[in-house]
Amino acid sequence: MKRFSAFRAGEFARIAILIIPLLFGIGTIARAASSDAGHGEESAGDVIMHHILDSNKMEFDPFGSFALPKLVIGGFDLSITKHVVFMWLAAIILLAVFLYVGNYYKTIGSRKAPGGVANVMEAIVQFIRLDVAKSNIGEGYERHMPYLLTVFVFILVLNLLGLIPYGASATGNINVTLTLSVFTFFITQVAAVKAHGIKGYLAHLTAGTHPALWIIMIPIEFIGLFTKPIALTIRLFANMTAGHIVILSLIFISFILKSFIVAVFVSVPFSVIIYLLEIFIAFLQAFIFTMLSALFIGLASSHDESHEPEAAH
Amino acid sequence: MEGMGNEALGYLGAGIGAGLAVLGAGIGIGNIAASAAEGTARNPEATADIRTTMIIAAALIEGVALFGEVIAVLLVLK
Amino acid sequence: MLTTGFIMLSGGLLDPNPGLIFWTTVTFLIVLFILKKFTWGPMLNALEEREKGIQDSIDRAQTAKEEAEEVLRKNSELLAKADAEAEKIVREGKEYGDKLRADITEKAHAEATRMIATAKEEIEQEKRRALTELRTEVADLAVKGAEKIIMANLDAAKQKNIIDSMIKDLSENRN
Repeated sequence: MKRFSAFRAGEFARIAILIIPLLFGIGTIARAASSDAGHGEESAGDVIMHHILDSNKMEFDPFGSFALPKLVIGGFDLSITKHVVFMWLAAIILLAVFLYVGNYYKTIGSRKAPGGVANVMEAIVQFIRLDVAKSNIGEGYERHMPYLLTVFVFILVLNLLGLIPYGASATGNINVTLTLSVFTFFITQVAAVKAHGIKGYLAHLTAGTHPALWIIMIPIEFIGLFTKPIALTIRLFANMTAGHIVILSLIFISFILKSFIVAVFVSVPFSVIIYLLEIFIAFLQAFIFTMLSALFIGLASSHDESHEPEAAH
Repeated sequence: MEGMGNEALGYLGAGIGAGLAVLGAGIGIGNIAASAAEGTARNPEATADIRTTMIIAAALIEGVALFGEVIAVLLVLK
Repeated sequence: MLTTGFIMLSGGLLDPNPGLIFWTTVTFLIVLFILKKFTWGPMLNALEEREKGIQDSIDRAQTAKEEAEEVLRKNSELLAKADAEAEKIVREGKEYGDKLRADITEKAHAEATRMIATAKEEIEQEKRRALTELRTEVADLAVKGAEKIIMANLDAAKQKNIIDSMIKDLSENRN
């Protein structure tokens, strides 16, 4: 009996993995169709942008929409937009899952092997702890573990939330990714100062050249400090946004061409494939962001640094 | 070339730019994959390391390509 | 250059939105602190404890194995030594036994030789005694016979002289 139900569960999971992207595709088609009908003669580009951009309304076409509160505090527009709502949703999901896991570890402790959800989360934690943090940062990696772990799961959940119907990925908004990169930037600089001291930190700006060259070196190095976080920002943002744009474009092809055959044989299959690719890219980008953060922290706080030309740009 | 207004040129530029960006990414990642395959062939023990490096390098190069894509998209949508 | 181009060409995609930045910061920091306190802390501690525990167990197993090997080695050494000792004792015992046997045999031989010599001497003595007795007997017989033969003409002294010279002849002949 137990084997029977396990077999059924495996079958169900396999079918679900294949069908759900299809449903998402159809859902977005329905969404796009109704929004098309509702907005009349909007061009496809505008509709796509409409789905990608942040907005003050939570829209559940064709079920209606409701407006989100606009807060203007002291001249700053702190209104709650769609992406903010999704970030809160991601935070709630994260807290729910990981508080359970943390409680599990408090009660069970270290003597027994974990089971269930805690097991999966532990695999993630161990992966980041050993492969990402320890190998890139080396000594003293424990202090940066909480930040790296949080960033990884946060970005992961945000990315994945963008893939469900009516979802929008907050990481497709450059402000969000910019904030996360700024966090990494601050942590990197603080780690560098802690490792080398203020003088050492400033000395790295000159990169050991003759004082006569300082007038050129310092601005260049200073700007070089900022390229890495900017690269992080744009990489995450562009990956997520481009993925969504591609999916939406594929789906809208069938509407632009107003042909059913194209929809069935071209649009939906390609959308499904791109959807699966997007799931992979969601994981990958979260991992890359975390790994590059760890790498920068490690580079900044290493004690026998050697200035190599930057490989990322 | 007379009937091309600024918008058309914009679209054209976006198309060519996007194509070039994708071309660059394709060549780059192709090189990575080739090197990874060769490395694995020479030293099957290091397969896991090589695979990790390959994925990381591919993601970085795709990031650069996507810079170009973003510019192209902006050009189209402006 | 690139960034200014970006911002100028932005189609709404790159709009800075300070409100969003604010909310992002707030949300992320809240999540970070809560998770750090309640999840990553216990989890990382548990993982490290487990790693250390495993390492300790491995170390202890290693030490125990080494000790066991040491004890084994010492035991076999002692055993080998005991064997050698035993062998030596047996060998010495055998040698001693051999020597003893040789001694006793020698002594027995000597004793036997001595007894034979003594016996020989005694036999010699007995023989001489017997001879002496025999001589006395023969002398007596001879005297009695001579008495009978030479009866009245002999006085005592002449008798004695003739008899003494006969004895002397006899003993010289005998000897």
